[in-house]
Amino acid sequence: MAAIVSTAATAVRVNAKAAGIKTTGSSRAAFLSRKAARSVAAVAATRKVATRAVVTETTAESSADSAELYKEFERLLVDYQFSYKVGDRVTGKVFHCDAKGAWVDIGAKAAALCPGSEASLAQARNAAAVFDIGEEYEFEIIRDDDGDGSLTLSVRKIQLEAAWNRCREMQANDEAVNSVVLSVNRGGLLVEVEHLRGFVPQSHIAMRVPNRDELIGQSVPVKFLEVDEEKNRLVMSNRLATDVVSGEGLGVGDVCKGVVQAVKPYGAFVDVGGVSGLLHISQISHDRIVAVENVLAPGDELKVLILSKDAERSRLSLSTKKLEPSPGDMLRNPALVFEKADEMGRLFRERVAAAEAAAQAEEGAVQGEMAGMEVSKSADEESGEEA
Amino acid sequence: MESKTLPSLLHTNKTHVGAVEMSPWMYPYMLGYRDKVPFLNVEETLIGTQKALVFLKSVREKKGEILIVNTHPAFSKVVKKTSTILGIHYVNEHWIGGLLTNWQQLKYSVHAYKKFNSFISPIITKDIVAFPKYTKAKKRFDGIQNMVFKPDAIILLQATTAHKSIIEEAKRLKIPVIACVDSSSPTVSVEYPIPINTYSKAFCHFLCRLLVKIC
Repeated sequence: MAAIVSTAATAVRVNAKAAGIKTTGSSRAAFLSRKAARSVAAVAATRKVATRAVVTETTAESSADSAELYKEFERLLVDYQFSYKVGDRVTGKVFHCDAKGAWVDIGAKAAALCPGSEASLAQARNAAAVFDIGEEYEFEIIRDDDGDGSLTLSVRKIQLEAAWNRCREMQANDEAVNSVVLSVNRGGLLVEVEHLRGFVPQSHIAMRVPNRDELIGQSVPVKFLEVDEEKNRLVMSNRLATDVVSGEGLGVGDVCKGVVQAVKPYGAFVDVGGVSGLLHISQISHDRIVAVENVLAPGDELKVLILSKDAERSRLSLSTKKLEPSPGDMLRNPALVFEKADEMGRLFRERVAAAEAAAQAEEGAVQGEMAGMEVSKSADEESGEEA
Repeated sequence: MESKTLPSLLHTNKTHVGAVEMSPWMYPYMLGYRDKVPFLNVEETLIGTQKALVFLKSVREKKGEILIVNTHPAFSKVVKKTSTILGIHYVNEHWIGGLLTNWQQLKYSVHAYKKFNSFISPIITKDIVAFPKYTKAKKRFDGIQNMVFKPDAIILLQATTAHKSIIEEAKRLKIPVIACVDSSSPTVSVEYPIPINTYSKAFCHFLCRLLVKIC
């Protein structure tokens, strides 16, 4: 090294002289001066790395075990997997969290990023809130590498799939879950179940509150009606979930107090003990009614008679006609109907029971006749149907 | 069983896998490729690191200034820690264009940030109020607060296509650069290239530890 430095020093002196005599020297001198200049430049370039000489000695030593190194390299090559495709599931260790997201070491060439928006199904402010540094999590690859090897990961997709699976299971088992009401609109309620948004139609809401906005933020039990992942439809029913509580107390022929919910051209919807029923326009009174609005208004309380129950859809058919002491009372004197409702209901039930008894007696007689007429089967079937 | 020699450790940490697009000037550093993925020669990596560290040591002995440039957010913590231990300047996550060549103008911003920071950092905590301009300035200037003039050496931890400007700036000001180059880097005409997979966390930690030990 010392030799190099000294030659550099001399070369500098030579160059200075050569520069001075460049114009007047012979061609040989000029050639020498140019050569000197080139060597000076070369030395100057390497002057910064003058310590290079020391390092090259070590490479000679390491070449002895390079053969082994290459063998190991071959073996490692076979084990590696370098192609990660979109949709692969990988487990990785989170080693750094920042504003963009979480950096995960999945064993590929470069660290993969799980952006903050894909960190979880629930709204998380940033990835640091969801992941702990140094822990292993499962991810799914959503975007391929951009030539550099850095992939984009997501946890949200896995959770989404799991949530839909759970909903399907619960629908199959007919389970009821608690859901939180997010907002109210004309058609029904928007609720949140398992971090998924679902819809409860108005007809399936079993709760009776004068102002539905009060429900926002409350938790209501629901059952699943429709779970369709491709169309992203999740329709649920509150009525089915709470039906068990209120539907049993009411039977056919009962007289109950109800509150009018809505008025339609064909009748009124009356809420009876948590279950909604239709009071058809023809069933309100014996007299002809032009418009239901003239008789009933939403919020009216009245006593109704239950004509029939539709267990599947949990709907009732109601009537006040049968409760009128004299025909036309509903229009003239609704208060009278209200008072006499229980009495009339009882009368109605008696009449119904009597009619049923009569029908059964008739049937019994017919059956006795049928037993004697077994000769012609077609005739039997006809008479059997008639009776 | 795998031997615990340094090259094999580098292998297991996938530091030798290169980026898919290969630049021709990286061919001498590569062993070959399989399925479009090139592989870098780990021996060359080690030689490169040795050269770089020897040079850095000599710079430190002469009381020179060193600047570490890192733009990958995953390594920002490590780089910050190393720099505070060693007392060298660092650029994390964003390189301001013209930081070196336009130092005449940049020095005012750096000085302003330094003054503001010394005034406000004992008072402010992140939870109280969101101060976006301050956080933005902090990201850019936090490491070069005390930089007076151009450094004597630059360590580039990622020399990918976006960082060509840094290399050009250094060349213009004649500052020697140590760069970790990958197979897709735009140029290898730096003084001390280290062929390595620039995104490997293991190598970054390894380099920082060596820096702390040696310098």
